[in-house]
Amino acid sequence: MKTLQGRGLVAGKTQGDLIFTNQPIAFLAGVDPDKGVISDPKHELVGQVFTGKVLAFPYSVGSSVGAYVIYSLSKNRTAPAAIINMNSDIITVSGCAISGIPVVDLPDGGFESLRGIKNASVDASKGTVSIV
Amino acid sequence: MNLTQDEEKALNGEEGEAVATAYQILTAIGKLTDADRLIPIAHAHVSGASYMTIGESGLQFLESFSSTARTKVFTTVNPCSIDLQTFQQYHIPTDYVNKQLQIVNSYRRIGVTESFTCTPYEGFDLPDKGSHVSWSESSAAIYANSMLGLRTNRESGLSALASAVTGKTAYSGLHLDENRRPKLVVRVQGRHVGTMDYSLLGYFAGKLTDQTLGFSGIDHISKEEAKSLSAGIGTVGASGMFVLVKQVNNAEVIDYTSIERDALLSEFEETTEGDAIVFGCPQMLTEEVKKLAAAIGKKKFRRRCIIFCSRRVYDEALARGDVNKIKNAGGEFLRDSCADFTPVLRELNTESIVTDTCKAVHYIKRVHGIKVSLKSTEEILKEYLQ
Repeated sequence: MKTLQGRGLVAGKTQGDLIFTNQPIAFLAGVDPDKGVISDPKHELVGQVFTGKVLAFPYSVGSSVGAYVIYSLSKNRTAPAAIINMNSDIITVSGCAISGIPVVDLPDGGFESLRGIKNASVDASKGTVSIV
Repeated sequence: MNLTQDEEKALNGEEGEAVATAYQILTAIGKLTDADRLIPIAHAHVSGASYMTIGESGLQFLESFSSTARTKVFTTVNPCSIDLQTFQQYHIPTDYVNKQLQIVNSYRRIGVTESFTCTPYEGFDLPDKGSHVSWSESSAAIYANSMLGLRTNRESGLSALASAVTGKTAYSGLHLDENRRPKLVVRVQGRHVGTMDYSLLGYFAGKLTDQTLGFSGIDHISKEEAKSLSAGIGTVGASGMFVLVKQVNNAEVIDYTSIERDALLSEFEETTEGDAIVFGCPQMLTEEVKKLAAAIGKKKFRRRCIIFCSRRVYDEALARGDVNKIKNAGGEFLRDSCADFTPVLRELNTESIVTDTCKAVHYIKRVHGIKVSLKSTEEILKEYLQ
């Protein structure tokens, strides 16, 4: 068991399968809010379902409406259980803040060590990510 | 982040649920960006007005939010998905129109100025240089920081809305001098001119960093080129500002030559000719409409041509006589709307579109699943005006 110390940005605690990418994600026209899947044809995770999983990506890019897409994911019950970022951003944090999706980011390092990890626990009140 | 007593009370619901939600968003961003406090802003620009992007859940959110929240500062709003004066002329399903109008009415209740534009820097009085603002719409936020000397983070639709109804934003990021200097400089070589070229440069540079970008080798940039550059960066990146620099200093340097440009352009290559032309992503500025009208002369478009611009830009063009010139050539105007997220594109019933910015190609392809080819404005006019 290894614990990475980061910053808890939106409160919540969860554990689940981890999906990792070091490519940024665009929420508008890059994910499908009905299916909870990465839909951007240029993204390495295209076709990957993230509903109920812990989704790790460096930060979000693209449209400012992305925050509303995150909210749609939560209302559609297709949202990830938690988000881990390397350096989080305003789109992700504002969207998750009104959706109650926990967010932790790891600006001091450790993000890359999540590659290949199958399962992670996120505790945003402590700002930690634990991996087995 | 330290909140004042009043801010603390508002966070705890004293000004109603909507304002409490707004403060929740602002405090989360304060934590994210290591802000020590909130500061007053002079102007908010909110995105999230299109039913095609925010959907049913966004509609419901705004319906409830607008029952109590009101703007505390001058606030402009991004395009929705239909021209609010002419939508009956298009075969848009009534249910869709009603949903779109519900969203528009929510923004009206909140008290926004009915700009419905992604270019709020055209046709509106702006605060003085150096003012703190809260702008979403990535292309507009980048433009505001880079060209207008305004200070804004690259806000989301929700965070700019939070700023609109509180009059505040977190004092952090691009509000601070230290984050407005580029650590990475793109050394631009060769000749790059016009909307498409700058769009390609933005699409290239946006992927390089989420921090402020520098460009060397650009002596002068027009408004429309800067708009296009901002939109390219915004579409694929997270950077909120660019700076034109003479010296590279200690920054990391990445070269952008005709080789990079041509390689990127080839990624956009399509075999189809384009059954319809789309201009105005981001919406056309006054200067662009003037140029278009001048280029037309006595010629006519040999394909359907839709021009997206704000109602302000349209009204001025109408007074100048440009609207008539363009309409006589077969051009159609859509105001209040976004070129990428509008049901009108579906109605065109076309398999392919030709346009002049990477942003339009990027979104129209992904949203409508049709072929889109990228050409310069001049090439399009040469090929499609007869």
